[in-house]
Amino acid sequence: MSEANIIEIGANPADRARNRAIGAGVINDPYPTYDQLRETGPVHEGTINRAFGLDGMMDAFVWPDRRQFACYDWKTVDTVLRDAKTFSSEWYQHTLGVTIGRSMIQMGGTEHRRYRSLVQPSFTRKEMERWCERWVQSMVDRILDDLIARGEPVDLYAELCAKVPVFTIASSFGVAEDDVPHFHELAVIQAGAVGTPADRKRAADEIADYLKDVIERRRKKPEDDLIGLLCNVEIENPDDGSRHRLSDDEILAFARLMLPAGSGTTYRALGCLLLALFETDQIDRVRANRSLLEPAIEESMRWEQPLTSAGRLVTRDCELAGVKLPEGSVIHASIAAANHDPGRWPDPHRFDLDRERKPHASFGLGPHLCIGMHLARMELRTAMNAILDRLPNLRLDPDAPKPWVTGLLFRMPTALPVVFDA
Amino acid sequence: MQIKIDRDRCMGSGSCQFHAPHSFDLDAECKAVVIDAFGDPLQAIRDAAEGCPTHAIQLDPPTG
Repeated sequence: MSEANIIEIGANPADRARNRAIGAGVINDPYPTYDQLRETGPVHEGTINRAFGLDGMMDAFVWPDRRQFACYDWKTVDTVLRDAKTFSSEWYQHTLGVTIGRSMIQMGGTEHRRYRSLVQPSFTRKEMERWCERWVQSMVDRILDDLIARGEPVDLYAELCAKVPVFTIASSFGVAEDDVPHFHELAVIQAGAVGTPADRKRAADEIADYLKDVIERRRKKPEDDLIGLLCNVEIENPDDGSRHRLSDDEILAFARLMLPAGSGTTYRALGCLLLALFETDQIDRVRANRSLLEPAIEESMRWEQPLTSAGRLVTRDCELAGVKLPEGSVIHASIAAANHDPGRWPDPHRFDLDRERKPHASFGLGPHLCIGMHLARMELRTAMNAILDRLPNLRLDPDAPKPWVTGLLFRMPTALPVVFDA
Repeated sequence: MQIKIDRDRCMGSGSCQFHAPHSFDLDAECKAVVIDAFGDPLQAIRDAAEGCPTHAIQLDPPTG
């Protein structure tokens, strides 16, 4: 077996197995292939996995018994993700939804709008100031206290990036701190890509058992965390205007959706951001001029998006960039290829801090735009400011193997071995 | 330049507020409102309109 195939990245065994399954250590630089697919397409029949020679992997993510297509430029990805009527998120019902239950990620139209409106006010930029104070800042500080006290070379990807987002989202659900690592593993297993359907079901059940306790406690005694909020809100029945509280199952599906969405993505985004700044030797530039931090976050999210594609169900016979898509087929929108479309970004494969800003597709586009995008940005900002303030002369460890960004469905650094001045 | 927000289309994502924080805010119903049509550089306001997940923001004239 070549070295590329035995790379180990992840916070726990499930995370490591999952990262291998999504192409980490197998696909390192997908961008020349995306370029070719864009130029010869931009729409092709077949999954993105198959275009990379990884057919059969990640079946839980593709609904394999359907005819599959994928699109690879900004315009078609923008069309597919925005036209939610023609390209429906019902696709998730047959992938992620199998284990997590019916949540807003698979809903459409007014139903999606009603459910999303319940939680949208808890995820505003303003609300994130409260999240920062309550959950994020203190945890980042504690992790850095520990790293500074140890004063030795450290893998920042494992010791910091892996921890902050999952602790934040789990804490917002009322999960006890000691239970978070196990919870993280369950979140990875239930989201698919590794293990059998029975493994995924078991993980989802275990999460449910734990959270049912929290729900019961919050129903008795309200708290202003996410589960507390969900126990309290009422949703309107569009047929008769009556209102009802969310059921336990509805709350559970929401929580099971937020766990992987909130833990894995920002973990990888923070890792890629740090690696981009190390590789281009710009960490001191951002340290000295913090107005560059936000452009750095946005450019790194465009350059290496934590999630590289999203699937949709085609609801009617239609044509996309000249290719006929039959009703009932699946289309995969390549967020990575859209973010690297040279028609939108000159020299797109370069991480360029001084690039002209434009909205990217890394949080999705259209009505399913990531509800946690302000949370992710706040976490990235908070972690980066603390790192820049407290770890002087931070640099890649010259004695450790040089890390790189890897993966197909997800993009992540292989590691972040660093040293800093005590 | 005028900025129009279609409240029925607006889903309250706050994307506009991210791109142009001095121009847009969310009101008590979690709907976007314009607080200052000249609060940010024109490009930022265009990004807000382009980035809106439901295309609820219209600029008049469209190119600013």
